[in-house]
Amino acid sequence: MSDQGEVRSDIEIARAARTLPIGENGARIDIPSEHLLPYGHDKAKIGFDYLDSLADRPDGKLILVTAITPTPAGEGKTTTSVGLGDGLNRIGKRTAVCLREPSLGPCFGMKGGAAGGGYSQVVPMESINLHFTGDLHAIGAAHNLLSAMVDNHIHWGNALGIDARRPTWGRVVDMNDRALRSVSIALGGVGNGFPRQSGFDITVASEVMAIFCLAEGLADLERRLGNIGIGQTRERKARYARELEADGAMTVLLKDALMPNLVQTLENNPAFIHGGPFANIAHGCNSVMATRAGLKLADYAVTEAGFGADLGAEKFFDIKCRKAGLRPDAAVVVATVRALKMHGGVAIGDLGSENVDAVRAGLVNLGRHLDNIARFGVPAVVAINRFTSDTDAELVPVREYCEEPTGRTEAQAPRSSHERWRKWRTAARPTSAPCIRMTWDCGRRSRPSPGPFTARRK
Amino acid sequence: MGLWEKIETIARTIYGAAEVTAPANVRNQIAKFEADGFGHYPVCMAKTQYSFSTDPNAKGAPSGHSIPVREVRLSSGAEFLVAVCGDMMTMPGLPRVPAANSIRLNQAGEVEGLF
Repeated sequence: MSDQGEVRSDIEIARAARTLPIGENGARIDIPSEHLLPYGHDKAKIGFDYLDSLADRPDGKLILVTAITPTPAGEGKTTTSVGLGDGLNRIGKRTAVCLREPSLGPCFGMKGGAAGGGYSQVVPMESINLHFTGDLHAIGAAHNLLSAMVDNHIHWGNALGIDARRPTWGRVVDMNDRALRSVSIALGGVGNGFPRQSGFDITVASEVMAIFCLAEGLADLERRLGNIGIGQTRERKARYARELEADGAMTVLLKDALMPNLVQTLENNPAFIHGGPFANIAHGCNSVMATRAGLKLADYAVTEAGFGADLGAEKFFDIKCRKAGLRPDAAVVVATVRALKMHGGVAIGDLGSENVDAVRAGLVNLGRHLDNIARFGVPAVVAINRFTSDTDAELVPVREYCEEPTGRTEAQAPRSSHERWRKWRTAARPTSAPCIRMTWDCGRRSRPSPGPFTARRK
Repeated sequence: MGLWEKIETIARTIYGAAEVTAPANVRNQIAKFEADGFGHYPVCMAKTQYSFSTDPNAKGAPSGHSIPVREVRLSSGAEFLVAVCGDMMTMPGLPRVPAANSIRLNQAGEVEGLF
């Protein structure tokens, strides 16, 4: 690091940020103030009527940030997304970032908050990581309303014939709490219902969260909520939430939450943070509502998908993009020297020591992800999320690999990197430039190939 | 393309697997979902994020492995089929020393310990 000095913690950097009042933030992407519903001074939701009025506007370019197979600490997709968004804005491209909404559970566990890092953060960081605009609470409430209605229905005679011996719709809470994975419910006597085994998931694993993130609007949200399977009859016939008439009340609980949240990056650029489903049981991308808002209101929308590209990017292309009719223009694959060393055979505990050969050996993982993204017809850029412990020698094989003129991928993965922490401001530009070049060069040719992956949107 | 073919396509082309396996009850369940009119749904793979295979310790770019589908679940509101490959965590736990231990308000009323 050339500019030495004390490395400040993420929260210290975030706290020192000069945030724009939410009205000024919205004005940067021409949102009239009457269409912002402020939640405090620096957060707002964006009204449905205004979003509907944007329907005829052309979409901006869509850039997906994904990653190589990660280490347990994660490789920095959010940090890279925010850095790339700020970098694009710095070179004069109007860009919005569209990110997932953090869950409380990991904040208090091991992984920490999920609002970027260093100088690539979204603010107000504490609020975004804690209760934010209450979306997670609303989703949990909607989910648990249905749970209560299922058990209540069984208690009052079970006209739908739901088989209580088989799994029914469980409950959720937004906390990491292993003691609730498997529980007995309805103990304590006749007045409390039929005792049986059930369980809790974390709120982000709820199907309501997945629905929330794929819904095109309130009507679509209600239709999908009604289609939730709540259990089976003894004859193995599926029963649905609409048969309990739960969909209307669940939609009421979610009506404000479904409006996308607008906040800002540390450089006062717009950030939509909305919805965050698990990337295993669900598709791991922020809401369609937020991504669409970003595409309509900015020339570039930078978004992310959870886990590595084998899960996140594949689901982004095959589920989110197909369902919502989105067309990604470029992908950014985040790689870290630490993860590459891990793929080169280094144990987690030894990732801090220089090992150039292991980095080189680990590039097979990056290569597989690049090949996969190329199969979808989407050009890719590699972004190295550089850590202070990385040595210059370790970066050499990564650069060489990315510069090989093999045509390994359609996009050839131009070299780029940005350094986390202090120096990202200048270094984010190399990532920005190839992104611009590729999104324009490839233009609309880069829609995901219609097959062979999954069925097209109906 | 049928639901099983979608699972196989993702496993072979994206994960580099040689085959996908599933017990008979899972295959029957898939057939039932198709008969019930859900065959057009996309597939949402629930697999470890730490490897292209279902073994989180298989780093790099493993190929020729087998992807076992343990269970399939229909998310009929979200409109996809979840194929569960290996253990799936839907309720995480806290580590021995959670971050919560160092999160507090300081004298100025600011939140400390979030990162």
